[in-house]
Amino acid sequence: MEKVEYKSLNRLKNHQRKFNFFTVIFTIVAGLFTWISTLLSNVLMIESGMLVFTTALTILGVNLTLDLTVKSNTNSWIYVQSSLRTVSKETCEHKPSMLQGRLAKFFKKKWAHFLIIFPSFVVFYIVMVVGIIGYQGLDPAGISLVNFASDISWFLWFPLLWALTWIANGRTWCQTCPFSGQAEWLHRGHPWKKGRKIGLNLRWPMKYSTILYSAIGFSILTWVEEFYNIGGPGVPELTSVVLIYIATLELFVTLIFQDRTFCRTMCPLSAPLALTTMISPLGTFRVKDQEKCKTCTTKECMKGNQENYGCPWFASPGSRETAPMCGLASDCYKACPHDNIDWNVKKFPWLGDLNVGRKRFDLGLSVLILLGVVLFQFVNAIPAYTIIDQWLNHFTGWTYFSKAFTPGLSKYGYSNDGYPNPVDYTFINAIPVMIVYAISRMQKKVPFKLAFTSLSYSLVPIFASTILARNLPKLLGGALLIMNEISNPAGTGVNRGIYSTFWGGVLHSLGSDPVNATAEWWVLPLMELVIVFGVFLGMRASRGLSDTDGLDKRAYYSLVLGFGITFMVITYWMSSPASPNLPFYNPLIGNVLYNPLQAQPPF
Amino acid sequence: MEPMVFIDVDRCVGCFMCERACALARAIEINVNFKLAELVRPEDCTGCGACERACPYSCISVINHGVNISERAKVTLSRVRRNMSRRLVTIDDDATLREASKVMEMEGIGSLMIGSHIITETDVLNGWFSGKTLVKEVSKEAITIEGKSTVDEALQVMNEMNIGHLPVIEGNSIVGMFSIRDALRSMSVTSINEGLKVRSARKEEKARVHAMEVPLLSTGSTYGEVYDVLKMKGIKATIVGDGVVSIRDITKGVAEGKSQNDQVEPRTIKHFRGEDPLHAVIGYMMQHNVRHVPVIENDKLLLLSIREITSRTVWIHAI
Repeated sequence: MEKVEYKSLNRLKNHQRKFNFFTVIFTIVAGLFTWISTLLSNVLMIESGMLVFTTALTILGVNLTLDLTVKSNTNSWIYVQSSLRTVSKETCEHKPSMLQGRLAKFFKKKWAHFLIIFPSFVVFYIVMVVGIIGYQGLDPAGISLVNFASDISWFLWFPLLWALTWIANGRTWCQTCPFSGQAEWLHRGHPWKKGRKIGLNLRWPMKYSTILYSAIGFSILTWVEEFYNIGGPGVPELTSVVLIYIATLELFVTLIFQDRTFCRTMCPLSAPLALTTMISPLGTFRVKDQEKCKTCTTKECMKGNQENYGCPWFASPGSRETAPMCGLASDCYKACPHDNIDWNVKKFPWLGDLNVGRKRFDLGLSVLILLGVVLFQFVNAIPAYTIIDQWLNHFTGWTYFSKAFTPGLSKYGYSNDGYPNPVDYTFINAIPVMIVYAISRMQKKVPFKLAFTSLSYSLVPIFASTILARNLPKLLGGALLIMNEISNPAGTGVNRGIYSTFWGGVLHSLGSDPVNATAEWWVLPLMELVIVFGVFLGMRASRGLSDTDGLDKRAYYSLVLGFGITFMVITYWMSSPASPNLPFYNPLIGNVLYNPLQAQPPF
Repeated sequence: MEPMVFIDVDRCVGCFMCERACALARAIEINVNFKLAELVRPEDCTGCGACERACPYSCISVINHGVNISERAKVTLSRVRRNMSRRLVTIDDDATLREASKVMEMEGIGSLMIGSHIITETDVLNGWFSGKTLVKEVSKEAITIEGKSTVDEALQVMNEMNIGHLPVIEGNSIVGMFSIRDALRSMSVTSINEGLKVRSARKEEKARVHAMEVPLLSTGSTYGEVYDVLKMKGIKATIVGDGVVSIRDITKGVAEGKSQNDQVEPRTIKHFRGEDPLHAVIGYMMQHNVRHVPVIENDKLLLLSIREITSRTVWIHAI
């Protein structure tokens, strides 16, 4: 592993300065590219420019904020020391480990990881190509129901990503991720054989080693997604551009920085998946016997050896504290000469990795930012939001800009007068941060930083459950359409009547109405159930966190219940039929009270 | 400039490699509760960068521009905490002087702790000769020293206060005892470098340099007589016949229940000659756990004591 050598403090600072300098250049170039694209009225160029520009701006913004607020030259600001906790046995009694029998043998094979990545690699390349060459038209509700690219991404993959929280763990996606997979193959020069790593192998500056980029990146990517209605699922070529952007950016970053720096620090999904991994039933790679590691001097799990690489994620399996950063690459398992690595299954309620001694302020902040994103996704389905948003767009003149950013999309049936307005988007994003900030300021017994982090940690299950709930209508109301598209991925000529196709008919008979972007009524109780489960886990987490960190239980409970009930009520309102003919109709909310059998959960 | 150590708390997993690498200075340690490397003793860090090289994930950056690593290493090694004895023997407040002297005799040490109070051999003897019987009547509030002080500073305190034992404090608790003999030992373990002007135990130095004239008492002197002489001269040992009697021997007498009018039994210790090299004498003293040896110089018997050797030596000063 190459290293940036710092001989004096100036060197250390110069590394940061150099990094910022190149980020500024990159930002300016991306900004110019976006501007020129706007002049050229090429929507694909504008979108990719916007994605790159916002990414660079996020990095620059976080760096500058850190430079202004943090005096030290390390990232010690992310570290929150919590009190001790005796670690009880936290593995499942029935199936303590994943690595038994055939699976254990499989993961010892060098090509195992390649084999796991390859199918999704193929699928996502098909998606990228089909998204660009396939049928682009949208139906009257503004969504695309015939193109494989957008449908598999947003009907199946995205909801499944959040369902993974309780099916396996969030990072199982990272295990199969084709983008990081191909970047790693390039970086290592071979899909599975050990060779010389190519690229500059720079270290991400220490002061800026945080996961905040990822959380803010997710928030901004969600904004772009909403703006172009990419995840609607909208115009398929826009989905392709997002995927190509992620793939290219990762290839670019892997040639500059060490191993999986992109995955760990920059990938927009890193922070959310790190959080969901903390509460999933399936654990991450972890050592069996800590004592063996204390005497181990070779540390092959981290450094690698002649045959195998070390952990590319910089997350040694040695401690619970690094569990959220384990990308399940299984390199440590192959490399360990003592066969001391295990992939454990957690014990219900699977909160063992959440309440650790070494908490992270930046992870806490990420929970709140991401919860803000989910809150936005809920609120935007309420009529009142649309009214405010439209007023703001006209008031601030954002409509004018939005027209400039979306040239040529109207021919596919896309229309947008500025939704979502950056002002209200930012405000809704910041609501959880503001609430938790206020509550932790009120805590007198515990230092602010610990109170803030601990309270945020109790909201991890709420985040995981609400984001899953919000994506359930798409999964249950539309995913079956993909079956149609397997034989005709480009979707040419099918859009005449989706309900006349076989799987469209099946969906319709189930009660789903994808043409109007609503799912079956029974998705509503399912969504509520998922949120109730999240609240339950949140309460369990609160109890543990309160015991270790010394905060009043009521502070946690009020947060968890407050957010939980808010989300449940919004879920109920946003699924309302919004019909003036039904009683309790309110133009701002829809039907305040209605029979759940008439519910129409929106995509 | 002080060396600076930066630790990436995002990547650090507490793998113990840096702690293992910092074997000499022991400045960096893993906090096992939080699985995180911490610079626990920044004053001991020599800036060598071993931790940085050992870290598998390049989490550590050592800034050592303009740091004289070998000099800092010498200071680190001459800290009191490196040379103290970690064994701390305590005694109850209401024990008798005789019990105290028995413990000292048995353990081969010269002082005992009673909470934050200390009792030494001199205190025991003072009490014995002035007719006191209980430890609490003679024990004194201990003069302490911090673990990060250097041996040099400790010796200054010892010489100023004319004492031979310093309880060592780290944080708020007493963690060990630093005696004058430990100072001598530290001299023998520290590698001596010409550039640092350390005079101790150089090869050419002879035993006669530090040997001192003491009153020569005749065989058959009583405990009382010897003690009076020691007290009058302000010394800790003298020569009786051709052997040595120190306060330790008198304390041993107390432990054995002797009376003040009993005859002392001088210890026969190997006699050194004035031209013997000093380091050989120090080696003998360390090996046989004695604080004084007789030295023959021009047919006269002199006494060489640890205090003389240590107090006249130039020590490494903190930089």
